Amino acid sequence: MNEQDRLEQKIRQTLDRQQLSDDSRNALRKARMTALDSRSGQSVLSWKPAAAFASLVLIIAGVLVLGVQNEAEFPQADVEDLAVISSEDEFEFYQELEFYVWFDEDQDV
Amino acid sequence: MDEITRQAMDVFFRGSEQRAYLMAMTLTRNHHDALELVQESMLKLVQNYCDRKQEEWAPLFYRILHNGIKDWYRKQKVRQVLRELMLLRADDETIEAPACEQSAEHKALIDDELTRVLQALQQLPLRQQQTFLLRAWQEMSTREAAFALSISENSVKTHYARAIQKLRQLLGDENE
Repeated sequence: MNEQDRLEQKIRQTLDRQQLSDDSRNALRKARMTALDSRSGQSVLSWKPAAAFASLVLIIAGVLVLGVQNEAEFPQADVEDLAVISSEDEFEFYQELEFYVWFDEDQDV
Repeated sequence: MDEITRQAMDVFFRGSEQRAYLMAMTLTRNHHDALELVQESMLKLVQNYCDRKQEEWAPLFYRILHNGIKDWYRKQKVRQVLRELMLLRADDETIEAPACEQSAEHKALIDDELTRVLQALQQLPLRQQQTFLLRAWQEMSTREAAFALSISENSVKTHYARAIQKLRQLLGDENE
């Protein structure tokens, strides 16, 4: 054993002679139990985010289903209606369209 | 955490907590802060690393502890600077620096030789103290100590060699 080993051994043995007070032992035991229990508690708590996520998914699904139903009830715009809306012709023209069709047919005759 | 892991961690902490506390106590010289640092390290290990392999617990535990001690030193330095600034401003007021806080029972339990060793250790820079305690007292390998202190293996070797050299100077006469 060289000088360094002897010094290390001496310091190690000296440090190992330290004894903890009862208060410190109790405090460490309490700290240990708190740490171990924290994980057990966390496993119960970990349901909360999962439950919150599940609730969110249900709400989103509900909103989507209701939205689809509402959309189904909403009258669908016909292609003809779109043509009327987007046309530059006067709206009265379309109101009297039957007359113009009749007039046009009459002209052909 | 299942019951088997809980029991294994309980056994690990029972075997490590006293030395971890004494190590923190040696480095901080504050009974309450040392306890708090150990408790915080236990909590972090349980909450973040209980799923890891058991042989990884010790290096992780000491890494968390020594990171905590490093942060503790930083805060102490900031407090010290603030205290000095306050002392400069307060001409007549006497502001006393906080004394080394040990539990009364702990004080009674340490003998003269231990006091000399602790005093010698406390004369080393923090990194040298940490390296020495992990290598010589905790009997960690260079690699494990490097992981625990988040430094390279070469740094561990350097800090350790310097610590030994200084301790030999301080305690050498009594050792021979």
